[in-house]
Amino acid sequence: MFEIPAELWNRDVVGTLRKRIPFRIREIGSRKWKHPFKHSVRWDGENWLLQVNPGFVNANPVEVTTSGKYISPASIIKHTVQNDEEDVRLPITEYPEVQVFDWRGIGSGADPLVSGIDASGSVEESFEPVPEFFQNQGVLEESRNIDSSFATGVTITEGERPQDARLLRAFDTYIEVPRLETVVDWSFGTVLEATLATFTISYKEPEDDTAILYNTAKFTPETVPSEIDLLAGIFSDSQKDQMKMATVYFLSAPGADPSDELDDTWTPFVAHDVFFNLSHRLKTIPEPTKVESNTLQTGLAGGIADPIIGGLLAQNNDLLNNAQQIYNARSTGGTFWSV
Amino acid sequence: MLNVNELEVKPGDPVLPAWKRLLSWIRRAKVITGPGIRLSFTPQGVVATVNREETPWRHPWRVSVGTHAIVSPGTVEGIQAYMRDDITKKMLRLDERDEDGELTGDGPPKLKIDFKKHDDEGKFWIWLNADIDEDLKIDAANPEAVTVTQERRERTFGQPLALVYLDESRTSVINTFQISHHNYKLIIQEQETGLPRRLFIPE
Repeated sequence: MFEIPAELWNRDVVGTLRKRIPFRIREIGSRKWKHPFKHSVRWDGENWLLQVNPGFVNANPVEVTTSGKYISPASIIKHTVQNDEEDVRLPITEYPEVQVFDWRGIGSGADPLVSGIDASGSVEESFEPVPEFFQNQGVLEESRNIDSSFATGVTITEGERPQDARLLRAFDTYIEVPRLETVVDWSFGTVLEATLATFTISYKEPEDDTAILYNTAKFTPETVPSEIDLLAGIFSDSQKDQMKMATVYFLSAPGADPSDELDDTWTPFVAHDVFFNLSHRLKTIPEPTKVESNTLQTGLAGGIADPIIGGLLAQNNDLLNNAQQIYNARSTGGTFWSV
Repeated sequence: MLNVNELEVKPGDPVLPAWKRLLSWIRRAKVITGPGIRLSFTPQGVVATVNREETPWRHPWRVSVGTHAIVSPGTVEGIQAYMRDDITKKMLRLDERDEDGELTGDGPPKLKIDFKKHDDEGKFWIWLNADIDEDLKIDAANPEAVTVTQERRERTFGQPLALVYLDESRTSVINTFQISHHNYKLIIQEQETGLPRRLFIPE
């Protein structure tokens, strides 16, 4: 009787099965529910275009600005767009597309997020970390070495990159909602009443409170000034609230170079931060026309009130606490939540 | 499920037991096509293409609008919402039950759409309202406490459920966008001036 040697069986039968199992399953034509603000990107032959599934802030659709060539014929008529290049702002319920202009590198070949020089002249750099998912796809962290000192100058040694390594690029999307601004004005008493400092808090309504969607290489939330700085008038209230919506990543084919164009050889992936429509409310609802005067005993000597409010506040903790409490109760910074 | 490692044969051992295990697995693992499933036999292997009819997500407050609006059941603080039914002219619960919680068998309430009730752009909202009493609570016994209505503009109080666009002639609906997807808790915040505000937070 003919016998199959174990080696032949293991190589030809078991080896073939290892390659074929499990089956590859491909899903097409899905009618899955698409959540609000779901991002899709496509290559139109020249550019990457972003489209965001309709999403709402409070009762109204978010709007976006794009070129006439990326909107539907119905939108062209509705918004009386004259030509393809004309910028038009329209609600995302009209399904406009937006050209992706700006992106950042992550990992190999990326620019540093932060770099600085210490007292000895050493250069320190930090880079945005590569998400684990993309590390598993072959994207490496940036690993260049910088030798530097005031004596020897700077030598940059690029880390070695395997020939089949992949590169990663990304951009972020966010929305901005204009809101009521809290305005602080200070005045001081006359010589006779120089121990009194008065600050008034008033509100400035935004001209347009529509939520707008933006895309940018990297979303950096506006730095929120401290209450003391806002109170002192050193910084003004930002008049808007922001919310990051998603990061869109592009993964290169193996062996790509950092100088390569972002074209259709890159594969897009979307990481959403928001999956439902949003509510946005101010912390408080003051009457926009309300102007309140708050008089504080400064304790300063008559006639020499410090004109620099920061300095004034620093001299008197009680004054600072009182003023801060009043400001905090009147400031209008808003909050988002999903509905 | 076949574990390929179990088919490995040590040098010198017979292959027949492994062969029988493989045959047994092939008989059990036969792929059978069904509705929406297509098999393609290629030199690289078999590709099974599955085109499934997804079951839509049956979330609360699902709004569908034609000449009437139908809204799937939803709650605020666990209280069922009511809507004015065009046929009975009564406020009926969205979950098709009576005040005792028994199914009525009459189907869901149908809100008649007023095609003159829209803003300048030809849109209107299906809106969720929650009235509160002096104790800043919803009166669960009041069928008008949690209601769904048609509104031509944003209301200060309440929660939008869907935004509806009419056509240019303002005689038919061209698009409905769902805004709300969850049942809600209601948070009441008293203000220095004016009425307390009502914040709808998903449960």
